[in-house]
Amino acid sequence: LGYKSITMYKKSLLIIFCVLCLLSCRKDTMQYGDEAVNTAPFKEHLSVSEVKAWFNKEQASPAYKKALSSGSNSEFSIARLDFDLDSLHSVKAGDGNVLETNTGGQLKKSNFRYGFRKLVFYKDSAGSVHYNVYEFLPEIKYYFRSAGKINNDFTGDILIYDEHYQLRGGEKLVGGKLAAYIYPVQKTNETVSAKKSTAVITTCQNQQSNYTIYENGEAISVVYGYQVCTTYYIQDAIDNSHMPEDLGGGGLTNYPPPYTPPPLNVTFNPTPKIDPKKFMDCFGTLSDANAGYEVKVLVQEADPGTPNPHGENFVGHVALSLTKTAANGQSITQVVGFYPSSRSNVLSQGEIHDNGAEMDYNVSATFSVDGDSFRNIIEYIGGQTPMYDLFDFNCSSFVYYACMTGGIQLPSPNTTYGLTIPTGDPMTPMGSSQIDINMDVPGQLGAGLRASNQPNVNTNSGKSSPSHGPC
Amino acid sequence: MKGIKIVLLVIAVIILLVNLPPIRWFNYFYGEDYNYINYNGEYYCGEYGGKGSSFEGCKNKFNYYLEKHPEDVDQTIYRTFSIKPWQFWEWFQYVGKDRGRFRLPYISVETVQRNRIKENKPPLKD
Repeated sequence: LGYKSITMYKKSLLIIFCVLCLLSCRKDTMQYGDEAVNTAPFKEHLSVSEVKAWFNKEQASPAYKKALSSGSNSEFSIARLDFDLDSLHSVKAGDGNVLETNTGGQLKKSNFRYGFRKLVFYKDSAGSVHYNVYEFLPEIKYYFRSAGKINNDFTGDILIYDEHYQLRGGEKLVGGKLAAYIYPVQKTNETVSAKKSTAVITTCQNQQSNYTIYENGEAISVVYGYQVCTTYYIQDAIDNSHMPEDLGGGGLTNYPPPYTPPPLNVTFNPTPKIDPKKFMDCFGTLSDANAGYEVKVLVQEADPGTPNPHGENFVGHVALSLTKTAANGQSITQVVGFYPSSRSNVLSQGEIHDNGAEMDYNVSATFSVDGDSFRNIIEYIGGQTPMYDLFDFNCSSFVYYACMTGGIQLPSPNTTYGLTIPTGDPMTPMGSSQIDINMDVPGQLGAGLRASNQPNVNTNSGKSSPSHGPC
Repeated sequence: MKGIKIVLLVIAVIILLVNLPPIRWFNYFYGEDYNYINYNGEYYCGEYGGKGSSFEGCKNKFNYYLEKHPEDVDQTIYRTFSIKPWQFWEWFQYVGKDRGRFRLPYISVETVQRNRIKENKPPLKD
């Protein structure tokens, strides 16, 4: 209960903050040169006092004062970044360390600000202090799953700029693993290149992405390229001819440092979670001889009659009603649905709930199946409960795959939907914006069933039958 | 005075926005868990943010439970949640079709556990 309340409180604060957050901005476009910049070897140890001394000197320089007074019309300068040197902390990098601090910069993509910017100070072999600007753009689903935190399974783009805000490169990570290098867009060509060596074919596709960085009322649009390569032989490497040499090493993939989430203190709380095996085992109490088997898919659409992922029924729900009728007329029905163990998190351990007698549905589809198909479905439900992912494996996905194991092909619940996110940005209507997210949606499954016009599909509303319960 | 009026107006707009679609649809993530239980914990139902289950559904399930357990000494459905009027983002629930949930009597998990002990039932576990 304590953890739930805290998470709920944090979510509430986030929403309030988003609504309250009124930011003004104006756009500017920066072009990048393609000169190569030497990168930090991270061999030296750097202290906070050294950075502060360097910054004091920097503040006294004419260039700093000029940048401070001329605003965004001048070249990029650390003078216009919003950061606090007292919050610098040391991170091990290579044989030495770097000192990093967050800035007030926010990265915006698809009208939603969810990326952030860091300043990373390092010392070169000559003893001079330098800094790089790291910009983190999480993949949108990762952002929601990790509640905005950067963990060591980071999925998204990390872009690294030098002191002149020239893009040096970066990495596109998937699950903390390097998926592609990022490089300044001038070096990209929208072509597909094929590179051959002995028994090796690597096909690389250059792609582009973009975002806008906001800080201190200044906005800069960034376009960058990355290369996704498919290699048909393990020994060949991706074509990194336009990458700075040291980006291929382990230094960046080890950065940012792993984040250890705090331990959860979950207190006792009764939940509607059931032991699905005990529910499914009940079917075994009836004889299989000449038994009839029925599988009913119950869909509660979030916005009844539409495929929308949210509406008056919040996110909606899909459940399965399974009935076995023995030759003597005795029957058992179990109605089950798939739920997250934590509603506040996008990704959490899944759990099965008893939806018997409590679920209102808008669309249903009834299938008569044979004993083998029915057993496959109850084994799927009674087996190990998978993780719940609000986007990729939710209640509709669970029912979809459960039916598939029984040979029932349901319409796909998968769709790409423009999710409305409150941002507090006055430039967007109602302080919210839309992000396209690919996800499984009860409403999409409902729409698919409606569109099928099959006689086994019923578009009348109804209530789920009571479950028999555990055995 | 004008400043106070503006602040009050902003607060009123915020309260209104979070209680109206589309923002209130995000109540799924941060909203209260409305759960119900009977005196001995043999019946339990959670609305789970409206995900498949509703207050009506839980009452329906309770009626079905009572049919199966006519021997229960207390045939009341209780709420396990406390009423928190300061949660302004939940205010739309107080005027919605399921506002009856707030009129249910409250019972704590500890009381349920004590009732179970009286009836020689094992304590509820996670």
